[in-house]
Amino acid sequence: MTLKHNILAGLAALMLAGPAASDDFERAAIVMPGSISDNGWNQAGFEGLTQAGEALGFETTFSESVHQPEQIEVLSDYARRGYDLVIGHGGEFQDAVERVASRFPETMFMVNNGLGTKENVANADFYFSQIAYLMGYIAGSMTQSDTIGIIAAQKFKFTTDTVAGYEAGAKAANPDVSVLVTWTGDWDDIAKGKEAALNQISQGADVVWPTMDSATLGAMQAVQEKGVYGIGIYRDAINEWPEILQSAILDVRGNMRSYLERAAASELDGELYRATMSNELAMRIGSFHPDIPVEVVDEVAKLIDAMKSGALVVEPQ
Amino acid sequence: MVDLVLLGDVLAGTARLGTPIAFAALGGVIAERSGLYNIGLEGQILAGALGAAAGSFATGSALIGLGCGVICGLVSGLFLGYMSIRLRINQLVGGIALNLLLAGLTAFLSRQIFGAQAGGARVEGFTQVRIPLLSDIPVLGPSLFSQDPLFYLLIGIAVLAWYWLMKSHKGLDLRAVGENPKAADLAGVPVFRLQYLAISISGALAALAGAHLVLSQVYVFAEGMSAGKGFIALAAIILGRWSPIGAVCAALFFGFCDAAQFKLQFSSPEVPYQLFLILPYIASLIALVILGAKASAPASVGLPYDREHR
Amino acid sequence: MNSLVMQRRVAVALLLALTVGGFLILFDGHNPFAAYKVLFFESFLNYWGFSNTLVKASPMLLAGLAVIIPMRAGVFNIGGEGQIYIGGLFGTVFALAAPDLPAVLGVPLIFLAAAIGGALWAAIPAYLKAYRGTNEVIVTLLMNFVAIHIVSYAVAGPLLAEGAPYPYSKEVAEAYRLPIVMPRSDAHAGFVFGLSLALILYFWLRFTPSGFQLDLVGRNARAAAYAGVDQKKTIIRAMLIGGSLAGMAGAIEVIGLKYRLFHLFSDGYGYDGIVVAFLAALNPIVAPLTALFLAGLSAGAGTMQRAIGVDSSVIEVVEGLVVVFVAAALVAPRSSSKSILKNLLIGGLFGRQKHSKKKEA
Repeated sequence: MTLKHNILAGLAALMLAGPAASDDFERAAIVMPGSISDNGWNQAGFEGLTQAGEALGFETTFSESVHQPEQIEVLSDYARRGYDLVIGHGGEFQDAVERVASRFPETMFMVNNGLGTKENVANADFYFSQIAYLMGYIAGSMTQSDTIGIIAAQKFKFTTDTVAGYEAGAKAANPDVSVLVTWTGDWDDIAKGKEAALNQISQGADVVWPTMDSATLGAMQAVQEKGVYGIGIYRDAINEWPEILQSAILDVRGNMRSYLERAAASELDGELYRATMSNELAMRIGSFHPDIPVEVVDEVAKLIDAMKSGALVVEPQ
Repeated sequence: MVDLVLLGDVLAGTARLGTPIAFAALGGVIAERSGLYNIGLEGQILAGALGAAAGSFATGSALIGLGCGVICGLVSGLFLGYMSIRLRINQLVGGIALNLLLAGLTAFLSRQIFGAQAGGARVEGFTQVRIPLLSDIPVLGPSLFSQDPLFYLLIGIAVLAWYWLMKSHKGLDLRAVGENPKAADLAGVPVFRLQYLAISISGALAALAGAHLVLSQVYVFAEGMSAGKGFIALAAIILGRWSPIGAVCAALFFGFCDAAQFKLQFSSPEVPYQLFLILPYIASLIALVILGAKASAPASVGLPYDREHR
Repeated sequence: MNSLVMQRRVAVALLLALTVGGFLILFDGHNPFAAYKVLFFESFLNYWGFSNTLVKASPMLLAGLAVIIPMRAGVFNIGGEGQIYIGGLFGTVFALAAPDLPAVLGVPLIFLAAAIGGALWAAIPAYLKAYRGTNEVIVTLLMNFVAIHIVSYAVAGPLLAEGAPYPYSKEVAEAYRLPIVMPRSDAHAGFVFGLSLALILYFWLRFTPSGFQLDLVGRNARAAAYAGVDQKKTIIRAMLIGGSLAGMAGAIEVIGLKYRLFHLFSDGYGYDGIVVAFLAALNPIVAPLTALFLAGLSAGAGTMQRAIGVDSSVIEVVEGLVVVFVAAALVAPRSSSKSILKNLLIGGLFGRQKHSKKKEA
């Protein structure tokens, strides 16, 4: 038993003496929970890294649809292969990244939408409450029925922050508004997304904000069929859906670009890189729907200025 | 009055959510009646969805898309039949492997076909058809008689399948194969040919479920869009006691529970939403216990038939 | 069939599956030979790769055993996935509730809690099957979905770790974590544990009266009744054992790998277990091998993506193909057809039928 143990340890040592890490930033990898063609979170992460790599001149690679049991294996493998930066795309990677990071002190790790930092674990997220507040404000101003809706998949910190910000913004614009919240339990079940939106609409909602991944497509389909307003997420969605009042552009690509530029200059530290309304590259609003009156547009601009100056603080839950 | 509107909503949701499950369950019934498990329904839904999306994308015609979807389903059914009948692979393993294979293949092909647009390429689909007169009935009219064409197709196929399986000669032969292939063989029934026929139809029906998702619901293909409907269909087969009509009813019952849970979420937001999400499953379990569905599976389902085995 | 023939058949089947898959890899713009080199070397011959294989093989093995034991009694437990979730939940709740026990006491109790959880979850379909004749496939299948949502609720609600960016529980105490069998890797003792259980179950089935009873009920219920075997009790016993095995797989994932209870912590291991069980021809002693095979395939496939950049969707197809072909190879050949190659290449779709007809004529 001990002999075997020794052989294994020896083998381990042999394997560890892999390629020596050079000082320059050369290679980055991203590990994603879903598919790179989901039109949402995962696609944004994939494109964010790939485009930054092309522009800034470093090599990139990715693993998609990495589920819970494989996270540690995949993250360690990239670190072992000598990648300078390994990105876990989503809060579900936080725990695995911390574990792997302690074994590979030479490698820098990043968690998109994670929580907490370490020496070699950085964290990039969005000030969801801010942008959700703005969306809520617009929805609250535009509703005729005093009922608006938001659809989310799973309940955890960032989604509850978003829902709370949306409610707060809507109430600020229209104290009588009631906000319908639906949890579908599934980020990608398109049929369910549509059903949830149809339900909110029949319940009287005339503005619906779907915040899932692929399932958003189904919800927007319902919005279009029923002739109500929608709100976009991640990108300026009015280009695809003319019913969109405004989009919460959580520009994962832009946010990643901000920190990847630092990484390429070897200046990425184990810190929190939070995208706020002050960082337009990472978080901003999109185009206004032509139906939105000028007063509302002006009011939103004022709110954004107040957020930038710190006069308006939307507290996360 | 409000309650009637609510009921109408739930019924319309029932039809939307239940139709794909019902198609797949019908497919499962026909396969199992011929003595073959079709665990590959989940993958075949994906195959049908991709075929429908690709066909409609290429030609701009939803009808051609439907045809392409059905062909994909037929082919996947034949392949499953080849595995189960000719190679005599354990039918559960074969089905699980088919699911894996088709999940990968559809994702791969969708990226080849739709390129950078993968996951967002919109295709032509069906629009709702209002049946004159019937659609004017209050509550029921707008929810059940102004659905998309595939919902009516489902009802037609269900009745047809029931007639074919229960009343026609060939259906009798098919059921005989599922109960006792050796006896059927000795009586001159072409066992293998009927099994291939059944498993192909089964694949085509599962593909219709996928086509419904794409052509009637969301007009795009998304990877993994079957989202477990093929497995729920397996449950609907048994809950419907291996009868085509029963399976469709079971699938619609499931769709009803799913549609109702969204309504319940609104009325009691303080209850954890997971409780509502499990409602359809719990309701099916309770229905199963109350109906006291004794195991009445076709006697030879899952057992590969070998002529030389005495 | 002797083992040499069997090995040859499996080898040929693998070769065929990989050839078909190779074209897809080529189509995806990668060198299939380079990809396959990675697939095999990194899953079995590379130290880290093998550690990944072991990590995946442990829950697959236990989930496989959880299918095998009930199946031997004629009950099809498709509910391994749900039993894993409930087992993981029970194990975690116990570990978090009693964080200060010594490891020698704590770890077995965690396993016991998980086994009880899995067994309870299996008891419902077992009771319905034995006493009401309700089809166990549908009950276990539906209960899988329920279990996943229960764990989802637990980790997003009462068990949620403070400030977690994703639904997961607090960490279990360090003392409770399974020892690592390959230094510096994540390969924990879970597989060793599963291996010993497989051995015990093998001997139990083979050499004890209660083990015989299981097979008797599974093979011929009427004969079992004549022999005075209580069929209902046997079915329930088999399901309870199956459920507790799957439940322990859940505990292994928690105290061996993740150290927390996560939303969606099992990635379909319960369904993998069905493949493990049938590839092993329902023999517990063979299950470790088939679990290693399936786990290696999955671990190697992941490296194929990372090292070569093969699209993950292509990898899924290759995995599916390998399972199909190997399963075909493991089917006992008919007397008339000698080799799998002939079976696959010469025999057409309806060839078999014509062949038999000729013989009859």
